[in-house]
Amino acid sequence: MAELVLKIAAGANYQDGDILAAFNSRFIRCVHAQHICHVKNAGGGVGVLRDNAHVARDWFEHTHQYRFERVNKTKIKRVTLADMSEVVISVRPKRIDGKMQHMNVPLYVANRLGHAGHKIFGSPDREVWYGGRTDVSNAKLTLVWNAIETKTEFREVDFRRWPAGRQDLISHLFVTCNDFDDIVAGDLVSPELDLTDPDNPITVKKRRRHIAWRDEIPTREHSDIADKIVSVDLRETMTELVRDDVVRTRAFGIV
Amino acid sequence: MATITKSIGTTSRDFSTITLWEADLDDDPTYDSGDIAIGECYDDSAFDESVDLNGGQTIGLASATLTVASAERHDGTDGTGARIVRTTFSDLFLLKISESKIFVEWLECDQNQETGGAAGATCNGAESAGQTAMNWRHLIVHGTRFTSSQSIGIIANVNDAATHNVLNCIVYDVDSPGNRDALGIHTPSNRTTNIYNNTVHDLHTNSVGDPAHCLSVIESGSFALKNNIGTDPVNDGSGGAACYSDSNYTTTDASHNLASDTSASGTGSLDSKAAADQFVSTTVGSEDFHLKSGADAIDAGTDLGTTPTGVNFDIDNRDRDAEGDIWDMGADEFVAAAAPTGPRAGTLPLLGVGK
Repeated sequence: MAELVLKIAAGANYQDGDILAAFNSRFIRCVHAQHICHVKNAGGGVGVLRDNAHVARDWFEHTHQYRFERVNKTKIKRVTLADMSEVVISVRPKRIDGKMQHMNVPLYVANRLGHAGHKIFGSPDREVWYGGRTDVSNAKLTLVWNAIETKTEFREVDFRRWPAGRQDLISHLFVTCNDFDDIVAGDLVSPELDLTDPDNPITVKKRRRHIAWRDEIPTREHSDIADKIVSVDLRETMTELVRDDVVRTRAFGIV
Repeated sequence: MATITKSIGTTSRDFSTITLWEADLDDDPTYDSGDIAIGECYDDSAFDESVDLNGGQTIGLASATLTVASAERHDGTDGTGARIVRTTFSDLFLLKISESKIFVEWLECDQNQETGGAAGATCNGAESAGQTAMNWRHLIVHGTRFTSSQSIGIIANVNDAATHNVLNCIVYDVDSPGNRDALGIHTPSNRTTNIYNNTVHDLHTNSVGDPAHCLSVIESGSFALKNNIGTDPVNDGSGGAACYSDSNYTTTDASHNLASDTSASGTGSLDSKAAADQFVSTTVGSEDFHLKSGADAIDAGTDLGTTPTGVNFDIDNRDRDAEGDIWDMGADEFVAAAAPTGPRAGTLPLLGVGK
């Protein structure tokens, strides 16, 4: 279960059939999980903490590097979720992992809570939030989806399609294909680069990979696909493409 | 001449990715020559892509701006607004401007410490013949890692007669795992570039031959470097580290810059100022580069008026000029807050979600 988005009609920087985007199953399950777990669904708001029971907190707990816990008015505890190691941080700078680190805790919390999109959970004076590196590998997403299906009525099986925009379906062509991993996803949308000077890579061509979609999509659809004012979505009706059979590479340097 | 605004996000928007918006700039029948194209991002989910912004030239757009809807902008810290977060290894930048009259603002660009190969910069303003007026504004850029080249947060590498600007951006956590340069904001071009009111913190390399610089100017063009803050560059090798690439610029119009070392140059500049004395938080994973009360950077800048466009708006969109502020150094204009009343626990019922 994966999708590719194709350029329709040649333009200045793309050619007809260029693969503009490649959404594998991980991308698709990740975007839908983010929608369900968005903090704006988790109650609270400006000056009001988020609901600790909401799956939004599960999202952060499973995908982020650190959990920050306020332990008193002026100190926080940073927990590294991978190994549950802890450091205590206050307004007094101290060297942690080779870097001088500090936090004015009441000011930090007040600054965050003043924003409608804040991510602060916990309770007053015992606030909790998350940060650091994000890991949305399939393993982490499975933990998130387990929480979603435990706590809500949503089921992952109902979220199989990339949430295409309305103009996406007019301007471009979405096709389905067999799934692929992230390395393949990156290759499918890779440009052709001149790396003679690695400090100054030059884009020779924005996309190397393309699909001759007219050979793969029934002729009766071609007119609507090429029409830039008609919305076309074939994902539920088309035969899933075999990616290795249909993806082609343009000759190096040929625009 | 019309202004055509398209929404970008994954919840019932016009386009679901920045790439798909950009790919349409020359082909959408709604655009005409002379139009202004605006791509307005929403914080529905994190974008995860590498985008080369160079569309719109064939149809003759007056300009193209990638921005964020006003209610979806960050609060000056990560994870709080529309953002690009790279979740897989890539050789590529997150954003690249390689054509004329393209502006990027208000996005968070998080390379998420995903180690990249070449490309060199998370936000890459690349050299292009005939390119005019490139602008990076109000960005938060962090998590930069490149192994096969320099590791740079924002690069303005232009080669045309127009003026290019890097304004009110925050750049931090730039590391060079390939033991090359680690640079926060870098301009190697030979043209006119203004680097105003930016905050750069925490650069690291282990290089023998290359440095770590918060703000890096190669003096072969006409540059202005004002009201910036650069703190905590580190080189565990012998290649050197400094907040500013030169403590005595000769052709760069440098003034009112702050450094945690002694490299800040120009009239009104401040040396040896600790990051902990300026910012709310330098805690890794919870950085907040707003100025705190008593910071040396407060009221220490120079008034830049309203030129170039956008310079007067700080990282929180406060208009320094309209408010009559005495300008601070860095991306944030300090505002003394009312005493915090403390948060309330959430009492609102959940709607539509939950058993």
